[in-house]
Amino acid sequence: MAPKGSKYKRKHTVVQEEQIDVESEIAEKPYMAVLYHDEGYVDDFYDLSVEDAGRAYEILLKLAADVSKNRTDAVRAKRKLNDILSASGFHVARHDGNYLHKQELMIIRMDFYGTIDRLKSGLRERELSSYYLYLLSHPLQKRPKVAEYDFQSAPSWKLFSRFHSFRHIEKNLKAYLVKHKIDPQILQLMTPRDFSDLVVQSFQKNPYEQKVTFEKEISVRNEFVRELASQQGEQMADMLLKQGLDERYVYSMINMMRRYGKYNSANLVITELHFTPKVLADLKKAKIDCKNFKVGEPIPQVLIDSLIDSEQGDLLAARDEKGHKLKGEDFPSFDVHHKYAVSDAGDLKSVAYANYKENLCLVRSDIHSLFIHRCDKAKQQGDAKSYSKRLEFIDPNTVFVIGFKEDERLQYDFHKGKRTKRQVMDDKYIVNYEACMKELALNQAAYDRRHNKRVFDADRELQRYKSHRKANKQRKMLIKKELLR
Amino acid sequence: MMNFIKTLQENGYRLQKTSFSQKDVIETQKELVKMGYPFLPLEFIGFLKNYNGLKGEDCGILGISPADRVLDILVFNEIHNGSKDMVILGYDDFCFLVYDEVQKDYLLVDRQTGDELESFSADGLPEALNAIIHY
Repeated sequence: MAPKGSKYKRKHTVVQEEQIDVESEIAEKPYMAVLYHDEGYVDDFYDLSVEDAGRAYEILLKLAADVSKNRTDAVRAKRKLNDILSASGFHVARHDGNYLHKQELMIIRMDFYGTIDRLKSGLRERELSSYYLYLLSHPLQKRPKVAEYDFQSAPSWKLFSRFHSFRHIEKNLKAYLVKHKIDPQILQLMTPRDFSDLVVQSFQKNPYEQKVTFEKEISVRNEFVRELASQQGEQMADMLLKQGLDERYVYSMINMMRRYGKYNSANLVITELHFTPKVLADLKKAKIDCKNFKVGEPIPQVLIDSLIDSEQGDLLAARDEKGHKLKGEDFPSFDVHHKYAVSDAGDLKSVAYANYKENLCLVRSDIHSLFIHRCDKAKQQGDAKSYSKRLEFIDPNTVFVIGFKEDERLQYDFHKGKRTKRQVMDDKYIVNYEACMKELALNQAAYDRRHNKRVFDADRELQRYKSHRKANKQRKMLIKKELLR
Repeated sequence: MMNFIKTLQENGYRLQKTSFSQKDVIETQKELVKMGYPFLPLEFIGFLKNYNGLKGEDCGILGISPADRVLDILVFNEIHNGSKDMVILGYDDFCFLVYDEVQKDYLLVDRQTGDELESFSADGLPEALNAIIHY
């Protein structure tokens, strides 16, 4: 030991103090362990909560990018980042900057969710084309024939018909147009926005419905989850049970996924797996024949399913030791994640591929929001376009993720590399957005000429709209500045 | 707004008892401003009294210190907000729903590129919330 007061003793004391500082910082902020430790940092990362794992990832990403300030730190951070991400099954994706037009993105979104939001009056007049609104409100005297409606040559519909879900509803749209005696030439003049309104008009159950469902059976995302749970449900249940989750939650969740393709725990009815005195009493009270059942026996799946279908699932509600019902929202929920960025779908052969099962993955909501999408940012409007850093799975067949460790990820290949019938069909409908919009502008100009109107000039209209928005923004900025003064 | 709340109830989202006080609202507003973001619109706070943080499928409406950390408006904005004029109110797998203080309207913005996809006027909160939630 160095003698008291010597420079060696002082140095030793400083090192000791630094260590104490580091340890207390780690105790306060566990994610700092990943940054301070040069060994075992992957295990440190595994021990973190999802929120702290996200923090560690974000700091490492910033350090690794900061080569100009401190090269040694940047190199070390990059090494740690690579080790941690590859141990967790991820890598940072590269982007070529092929941006998708917002209308195309919205169509992909509609296909994925299987719904379209109604435009409220006022907004309708602003957002929809004058051609569409005029022809819709001026029906023909004579009912046109179905064959007169040529969807295949409608420029904007070509953008929709790339997706099976929209091709599937073409006959419903035709039926609506025939019924209301709408001039068939409307199709050649309609904008993409007009078509989404036509879907709303054709499928609305009542004029007040806010979100109109156009998928007849099941939406793309729910179909993915249903098929995944049907084929990999047992493996998924085993993984969840391994995390120590209540088996009643696990089997109720997998059952909901398998039957309906639903995965939001807030809407989950957690049922007992075996008859309890309370369940038998409740069934008896509801006059459901249960004299053949005994406490401790497994509840037949048929009974669980039939009671859930008739909205009587609560009769089988799972309870804690105090007798309180288990609430779904107290357990993990899931999100369907697009493995390949939808904004990048322009790089795919067809944008329809963006919502294919092969491109989807079921992920625990906290990992999805706090880690995988960690770098997504709402940016200042008007800023230059830029992609946020995005994480992608190393294994493209990753379909289910509930943690960062290897045994918390499941891989499955839906089609074993074969082209599906849907893909073969989708490939026949590949179109280019700009070409469709140019064709639409020509159609509208020709219509204007025929009807002696001023020729529609898309650039002029766009310019007018932009200058209006700019002036409006400047005015608001001015007001804000005045208020702050 | 009542229609939207009714629709949520019809789709299985039970009304939540208010889990925050006036003091919580003030603290959250102060914290947002400290972080450089605008105040929450009053109508949105009114909605939170019915649903303080709402988790849908692949989507959510944020709340004031809700039980689920993923839905905490402060945590979410700290991670995902790169603008000083906006505050994020909700999200799905494609977009963020933001309130733009400068334009005084609600916007759906692409979460990957930050592009504005759709806008709703200052009185269009129910439509904006409806656009971000998927049941």
